[in-house]
Amino acid sequence: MRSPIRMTTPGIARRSTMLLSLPLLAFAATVSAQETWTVRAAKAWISPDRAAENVAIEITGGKISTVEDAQAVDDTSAPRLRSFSKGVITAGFIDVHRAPITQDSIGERAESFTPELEASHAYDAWSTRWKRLLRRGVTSAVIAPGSENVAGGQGAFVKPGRPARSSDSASYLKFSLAREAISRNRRPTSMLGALEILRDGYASLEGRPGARLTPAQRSLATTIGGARRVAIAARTRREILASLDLLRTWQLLGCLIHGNDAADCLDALDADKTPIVLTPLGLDAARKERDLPGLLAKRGIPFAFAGESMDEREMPALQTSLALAVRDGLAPEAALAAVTTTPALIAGRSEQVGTLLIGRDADLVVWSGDPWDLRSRVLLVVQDGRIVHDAALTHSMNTKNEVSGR
Amino acid sequence: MTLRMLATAGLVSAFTLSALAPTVVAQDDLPKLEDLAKDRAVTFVSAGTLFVPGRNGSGPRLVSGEKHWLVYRRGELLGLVEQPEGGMKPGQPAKLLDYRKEHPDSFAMPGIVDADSRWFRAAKDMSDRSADPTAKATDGLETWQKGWKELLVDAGVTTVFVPTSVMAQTTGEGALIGLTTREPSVLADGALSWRLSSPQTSGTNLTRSNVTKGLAAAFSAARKYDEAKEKHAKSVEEFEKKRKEFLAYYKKNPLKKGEEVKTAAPQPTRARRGRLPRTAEELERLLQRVPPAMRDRVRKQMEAQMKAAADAEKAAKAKAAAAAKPAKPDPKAGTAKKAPPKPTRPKPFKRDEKNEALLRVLAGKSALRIEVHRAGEIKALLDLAEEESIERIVIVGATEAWKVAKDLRVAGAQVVLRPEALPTKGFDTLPEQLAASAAKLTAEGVAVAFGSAGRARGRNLPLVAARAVANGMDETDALQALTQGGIEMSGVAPETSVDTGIVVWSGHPLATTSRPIAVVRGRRAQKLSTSEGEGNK
Repeated sequence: MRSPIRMTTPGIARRSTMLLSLPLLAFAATVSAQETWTVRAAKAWISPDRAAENVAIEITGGKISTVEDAQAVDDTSAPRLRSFSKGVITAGFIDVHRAPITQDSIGERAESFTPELEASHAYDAWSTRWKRLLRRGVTSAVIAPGSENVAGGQGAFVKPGRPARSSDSASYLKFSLAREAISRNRRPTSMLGALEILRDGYASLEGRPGARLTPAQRSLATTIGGARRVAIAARTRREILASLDLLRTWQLLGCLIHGNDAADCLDALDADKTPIVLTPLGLDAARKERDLPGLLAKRGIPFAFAGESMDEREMPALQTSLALAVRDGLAPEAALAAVTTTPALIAGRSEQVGTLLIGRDADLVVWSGDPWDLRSRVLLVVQDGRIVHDAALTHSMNTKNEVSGR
Repeated sequence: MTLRMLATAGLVSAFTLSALAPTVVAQDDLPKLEDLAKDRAVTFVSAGTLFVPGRNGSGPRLVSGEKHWLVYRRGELLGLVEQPEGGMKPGQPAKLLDYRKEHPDSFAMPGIVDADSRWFRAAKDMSDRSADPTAKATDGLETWQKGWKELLVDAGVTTVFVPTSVMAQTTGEGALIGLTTREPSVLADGALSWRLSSPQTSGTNLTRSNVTKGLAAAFSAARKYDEAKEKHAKSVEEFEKKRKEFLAYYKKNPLKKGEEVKTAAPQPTRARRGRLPRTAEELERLLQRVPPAMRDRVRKQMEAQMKAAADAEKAAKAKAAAAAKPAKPDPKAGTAKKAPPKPTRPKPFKRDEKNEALLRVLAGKSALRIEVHRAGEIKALLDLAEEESIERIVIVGATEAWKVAKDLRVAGAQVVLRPEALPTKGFDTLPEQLAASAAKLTAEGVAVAFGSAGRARGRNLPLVAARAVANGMDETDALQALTQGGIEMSGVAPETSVDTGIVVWSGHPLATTSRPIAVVRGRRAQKLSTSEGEGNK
């Protein structure tokens, strides 16, 4: 039996907080993906290069149906309205390279070449840990195989916490030339060996139109001609150059994962403008790491930050990366693109997520200020038109728990 | 690396005060504006927003720079003055630095203080487990280290507190180092640091239940030391008095030929170890333990010694009896005063730095700066502080301090929060946790400061404070924690003023897009740019 609420003087204040938050509770509980409702804020980043003041975004059926001047929205006529007088709306962040909840669920250890594996099969949509990502403004992610296999398999584009069908979630094919892919116990034992495995894989497709292909070959075939992107884990200059060479040889649409030494081969990257997925910048990041986003932006090489932390004791990795990059001279617009439009491009979902344009998925985040300002906190997270995190509600629930002593 | 001087730039050269209309001074304890304007040591600084940290009981103040000026004199931020009608006018000796026109969003405040830094100390010294209270941070400063200027240029950090060692259980005084000069300069000696307990100290005698025992014993020893010191001071005083009398007597009554100075009776010496036998039977018993071949020789020696000892005892008794008899008055001497014996100087007192530091803590002159992490140990420490009447307690690390925030507030304890990477599971403090902890502690009324526990990490202090704001900390509290909080928690005496300079930012210091644009020290303003920090790498 639940213990009765202990009312003390501060408790009365808490109860009034609870009473005030009742409309919020009712609102959040009743908003469903099919309904029409509006979110209004002082500012919205429609896309990284377009900001608008006093914006009202109408959401219908999980999609953005209208983006208009907030003053045109009548408080009484708006069917359901959430208003944030000082809030800033951005598109939901996209974590374009993240591990599934359990580390060992993707990555075949006995074999190094498994392009036919699908990360969507290892995606556990029902894990409560996805809420931690949502609370940090991440509304989409690509679940990627690890870098231990030369060809790890196909990534899965998912909305964290929501079930995904493997046919709808196909994203890039993950390769790795990084040192993790090299083992003493199985092939390859060197980076050259890893490169040879990938070349052999593509060479086996040559001159075989209409031939019966193995599942691995079928998976590789989908990447030829840029139909599907290839993401290659490459850290050192040697690995990056080898990756770029592979992409050019087989005319693949690619992107690099990690790319720690990218600053040393900017000219090579500049030629094809191959996007890079960078590890988030931490507070202890070295100068070389901190300067890299600025150097890439200067050359017009697209880059994204990926790898949001699920440890709540850690600072939000994507937001911190934006803050550190902006502090070190990167334009805020370029920083915002690194967690919205560029990852959408890498995931092959530019027409679906990454901006607040009409017809896009209603994935948005309301911040208390600009997202690259570390003072800003997430006020509201909407995923496919549903409110998946509401800071006001969370606060009132916490207060309620404190009052009831639970 | 050279810092370009702004003093010669057009921004400030034309500004000195001429005629100031009488005006209301914003703070009661400040001298009148007219007097301040006549003082050559005074610099008035204005920017879009001004922040004056709380000090000595006054709260922090965040005001618009539209009508206010910061008053900075001889390295001390005196406070705020209201701008007179018609504005400040040039022509007086005091210096005027106005950043409002060139940078309307600028923000001026004292420099940020890293309350727990590792700069200018060798890694080996920092991890010295054998360091004791006599080891001072200032004795081993490596001022030639490079890269420190980045802290000032990137994050407006003008001062760092460096402890002596982080591994020893008790170390000597840390130091506050200023970064606004060409070379790092020592601004003040800080508190003695203790490290009573942490998950890293497992296996030592100061873990868990023994934590308070160790500290209580230390304070008890310090009190005994104080008593002994007082006793010694009294004996020195007495000696000086007797010495004066002695010298005065012999000045008046000079020694005659052949006469000797009367010395004080010798102090009874301790009996020798292994006393001589007193009787013949005792001697025979003793000789049983001597080899037969040597017995006769030893007997002769012992008998001679026994005889000498008996004679000496007899003589001493006779002397004592003679001294006890009242001396016959010498009719010739008349009323002459008796000669005083020559006084013996007390042995010098052995000064103990550890106890001296603890006595300073007990007297409230210095803070007790202790690394403690577990809530239970913090609570035990607070109980002990109450018993020992310790006024100023600074808890460093304080992973679980938020759990005992109320107790910390009641005890008036202060907390230095820093990122921790402790080996014990669950005890590492990650930045977001640190920021949340700061918000919880200040909400409860506990003063906090931020430390980096590193070198380059110091540039992250404004970012950590910004996260604390995102977690609910008030912005003014965050700025207080970044500035005066660090000074207070370094353990300097409350009345000591530490010159942290004035840093002018391009915007709010906690905003990611803001950068320090100038630092004011004395009458000079130095322009800051990223290239200056790079030159120091």
